[in-house]
Amino acid sequence: MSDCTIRFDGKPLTGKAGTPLIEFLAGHGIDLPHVCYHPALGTPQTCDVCWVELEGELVRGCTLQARDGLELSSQARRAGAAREEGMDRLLAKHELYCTVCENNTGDCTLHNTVAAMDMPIQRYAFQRKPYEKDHSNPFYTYDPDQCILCGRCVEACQNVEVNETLSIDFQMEPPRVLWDGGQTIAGSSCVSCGHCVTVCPCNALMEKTMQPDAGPFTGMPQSLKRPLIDLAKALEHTIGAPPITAISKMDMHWRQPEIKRTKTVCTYCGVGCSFEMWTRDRHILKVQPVVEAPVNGISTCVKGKFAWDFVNSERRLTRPLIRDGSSFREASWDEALDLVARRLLAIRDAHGPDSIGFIGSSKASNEEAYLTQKIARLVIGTNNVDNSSRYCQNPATKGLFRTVGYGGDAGSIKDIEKAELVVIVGSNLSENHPVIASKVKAAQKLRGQKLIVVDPRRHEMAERANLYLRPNASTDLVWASALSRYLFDHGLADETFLASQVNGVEEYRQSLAPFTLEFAEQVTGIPRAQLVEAAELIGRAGSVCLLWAMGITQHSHGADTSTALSNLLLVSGNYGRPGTGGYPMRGHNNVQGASDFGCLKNMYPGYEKVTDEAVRAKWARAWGVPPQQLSGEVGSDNFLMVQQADARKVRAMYIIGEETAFSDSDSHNVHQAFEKLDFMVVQDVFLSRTAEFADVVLPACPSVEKEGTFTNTERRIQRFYPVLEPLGDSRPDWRILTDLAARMGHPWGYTHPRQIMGEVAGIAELFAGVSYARLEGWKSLCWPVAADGQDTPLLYTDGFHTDDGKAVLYPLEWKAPAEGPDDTFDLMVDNGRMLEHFQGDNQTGQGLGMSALSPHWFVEVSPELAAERGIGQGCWVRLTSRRGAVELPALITGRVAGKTLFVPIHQGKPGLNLLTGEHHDPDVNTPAYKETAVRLEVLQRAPLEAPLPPGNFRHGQRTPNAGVPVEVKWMRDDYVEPPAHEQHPESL
Amino acid sequence: MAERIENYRVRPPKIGATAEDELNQLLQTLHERGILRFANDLAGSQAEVMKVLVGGLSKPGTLNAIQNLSILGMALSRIPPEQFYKVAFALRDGFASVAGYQPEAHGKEAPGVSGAYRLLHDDDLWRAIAPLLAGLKTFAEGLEREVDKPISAFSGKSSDF
Repeated sequence: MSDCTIRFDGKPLTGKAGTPLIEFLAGHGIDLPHVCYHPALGTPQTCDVCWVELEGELVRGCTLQARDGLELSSQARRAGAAREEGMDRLLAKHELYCTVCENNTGDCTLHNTVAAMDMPIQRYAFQRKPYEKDHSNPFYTYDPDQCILCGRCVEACQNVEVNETLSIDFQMEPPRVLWDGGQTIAGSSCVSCGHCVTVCPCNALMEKTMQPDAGPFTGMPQSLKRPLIDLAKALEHTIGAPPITAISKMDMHWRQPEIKRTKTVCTYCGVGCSFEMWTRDRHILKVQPVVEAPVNGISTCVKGKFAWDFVNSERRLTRPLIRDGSSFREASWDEALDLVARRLLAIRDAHGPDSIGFIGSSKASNEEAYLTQKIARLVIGTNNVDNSSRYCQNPATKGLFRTVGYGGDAGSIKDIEKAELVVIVGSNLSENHPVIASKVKAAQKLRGQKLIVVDPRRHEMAERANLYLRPNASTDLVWASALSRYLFDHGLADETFLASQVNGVEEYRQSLAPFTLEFAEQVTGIPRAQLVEAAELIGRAGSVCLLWAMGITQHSHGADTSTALSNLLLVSGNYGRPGTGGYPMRGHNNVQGASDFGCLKNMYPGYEKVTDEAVRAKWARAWGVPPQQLSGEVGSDNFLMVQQADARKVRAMYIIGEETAFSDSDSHNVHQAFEKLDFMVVQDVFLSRTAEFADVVLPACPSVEKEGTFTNTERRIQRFYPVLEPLGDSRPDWRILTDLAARMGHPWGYTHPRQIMGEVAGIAELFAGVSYARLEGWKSLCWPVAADGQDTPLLYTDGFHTDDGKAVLYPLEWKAPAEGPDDTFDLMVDNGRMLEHFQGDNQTGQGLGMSALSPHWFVEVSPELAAERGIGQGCWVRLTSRRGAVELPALITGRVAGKTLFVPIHQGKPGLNLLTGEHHDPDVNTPAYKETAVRLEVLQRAPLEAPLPPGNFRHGQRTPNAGVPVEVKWMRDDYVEPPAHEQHPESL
Repeated sequence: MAERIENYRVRPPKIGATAEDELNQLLQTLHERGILRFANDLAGSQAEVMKVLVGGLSKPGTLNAIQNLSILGMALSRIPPEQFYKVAFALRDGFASVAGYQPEAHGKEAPGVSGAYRLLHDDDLWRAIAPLLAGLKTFAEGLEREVDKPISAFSGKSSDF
């Protein structure tokens, strides 16, 4: 943007042309009063508070952008009167009682604007509306009496989150915000993402965590509050508004010392949302997203916005526990750490370094992942270290290693937004990566982006897709390869790109011979015409991003299918340009970082191979030991460690923040293996199912009680800061690991995570330019990061990460899944995370609000299967696999089809993994969770009335619209443009 | 070999500040802001400060002021704000009229027929009284104005609030 100069009230102001006027003026310290304008939402034009005069005409200032020669007056009498009239109309809809209002914490747009306008008195009396305050949602309330009908919430819901629940009907009498056209919040399609609450300029939409104690006078009983408000109003008749506003301004100021605002990064998925957390002591007042957040801006999902009550759970671990017979006893840190150090060293000396295995946490920080592998490699001398990416992401990473070289997303979320076509495969994006889903939904709704979804389950993104393909389970490699062949056969392959940037083209092309459309149709069950349509869309799109997740990776050939998807992108020339690339959606907040920072059996931090002598020598030199002290052998991963524990080859395990006993496949075998260990340490926030097997349990802190960095699915490294002090005697993982290493003869002496990051950056080339200074505040870096701090949001713009800089087309064969249906086990169990759950519900299960959304474990059954087997809603069924059985109520839904069931993975004891088996992808040892065949028996038991409660958002009916229909308001007979006075301001 | 321990219940941690924590925080804040020092000074010099305070309060002028303010308060509590506003602002306007009186604008000659003969012909006296009459006139006009809300009358902005 070039510079321009405008004249505002006679003063010349220079800044970037095209900047919205309100922002432009703010940059010069001028506050043009406004309420409905929001930088993330644009200009709803509903508040009528920002009038200025342009060439003698009144214009809403929010609709203007800075340009040379723009000459405006805000001081013209008419403009001032119009602004005041606009505010008077808002106050007819909103009762001011700011000193006793929870929202007067400093960011109440309405209060601050009223105060800034300094009006002597409001013109119109406040009119109550004939609607009750809606308390039905567990997390927030809507008070129609306080709602000014600005429509920010509608804009956020319709065009940012794109859940399309909210609307305003300006023809209602009086209008109000509507959920699904007139439902209570509970039971509507509202997913509680919190966008509307975040942008509400007053207290109409407000977090329940703010109510009632956000201010010193807000918690008083209504029986006192009401007379106090009435008293102030009576006085206001005589003394006017300014003295009363002065009190509320003082109230806003004296709240500030007790409110702490801290930037943190969400830990509920790999998107990497960052936001401010507002706290008063240990009370989390609210999560407040900000426009500056590099990934999400104002967006959050229900977990990021509302699911933090677990940090104050009474079930938090706060003291070390030591096994004592058939129970635990509390112990001091000295006793617990001494015991751990002594036992691990003794086991290492007795059985060798490889008798000990470490599972690092994909929820803990990069620095903590680094220390985990450093203890394993340097102190113990083993490469037996892994993280939970083994259960989800390693097949995707393998596919990328084979074809393009880096094990991470090819670009950023902005590239996904830019793409002409997005293809989502095996990913329930709107439930598992909700904020990325919002970006895709917005690009589709507002900018015409095309969307293809391939998934056995008809989830929200499938419903929204321009083309939805429903393949048979475990057959994705076939359609992906058939599409590649189609592109070659029909001149849609990017031959120029292939010739200049890709190796192995001809060999790959020949390997596609079996993948005809007929074969693909037969194996996948996708009609040939749909395959052709998909191929044509991909082949002809200017830019394509392909997103995939567990629906692809958790199969016996997940690495191959991931490779096939990357092959398809190469054939169509969709790497290395804005809006292109492959995007495995990382599931946990730091599953990318845990691998990046070395919690892998074969890689040092920065994906440097343990088998490379030069690499080993480099790390040994940096750590001050001879190379021989570090193992040059690839270690064991999670899957093998558990098997080796069962075989008594692994004698001790150290598990950090992972729920292996619940989330690893075939739970029975996992539990049996854990019981055979000589010694087991678990470091966690809660006494997880895994911790129940431990000899020592070390109480760790969640992210909000420590400092560090996380790396999201885009390879973006972001800092998080301590919101709260550690609870009780719990400690940050990095400190526990540092203290433990010292007790094992390695006094590293870290006193702050920045020192750890500094050490990694000095050794691993991938992170050479990473430093805490460069990550300060809202700044972030996408690896690889050069020593000068230059980062790489979009990969492969200068070639691929291979020896010769060219990508590789990797030939594949179709292999049948390791487990499929047969006569005995005739149904397949698809499975996955639900929006409101995370990691065995250890965190999301601690608060009543989250638990209330879907308290029951259930199995989704297709209507056709239900009819065939006589299964009614809530009917109890037993699912039996080759490993075990579980009993669940049935939820009949069209989300699943035919003989495929769906079971949520994070609920229930003992959990889905009683059914899953040890069959796995041999390339990466990832269990084939999605290849679980079962038989179903209907149980003679009284049905569960509502497997999914009536208030659950899945029952709602969305009401898509373009946003706030302000034109309808303007067209009403009783609307007159300010400064003229209004007859019914409460309605407009 | 360790069997699973399924029924261990974690001892609930202490969450949030206790009254003692809050009290300590309050003390620290009072200390940092110098309020404790002042309070200590005040408490330590209580007798002397009280003597000065009582001495001051006991002077006839102070006692008059306190009693007069009390009477004013008693009277004010019985006047509806609308009436008081009317009178107070009529007075204010009257004063403004008196202060802003321009003899030149009204001429220097006496009015002539009514009133005491001498008064009517005493130009100097007339010049002295005329402003007061003008003020009285404005005051009377002020009393005639209807006042719904004092703040509306004061600001000129009508309000049905």
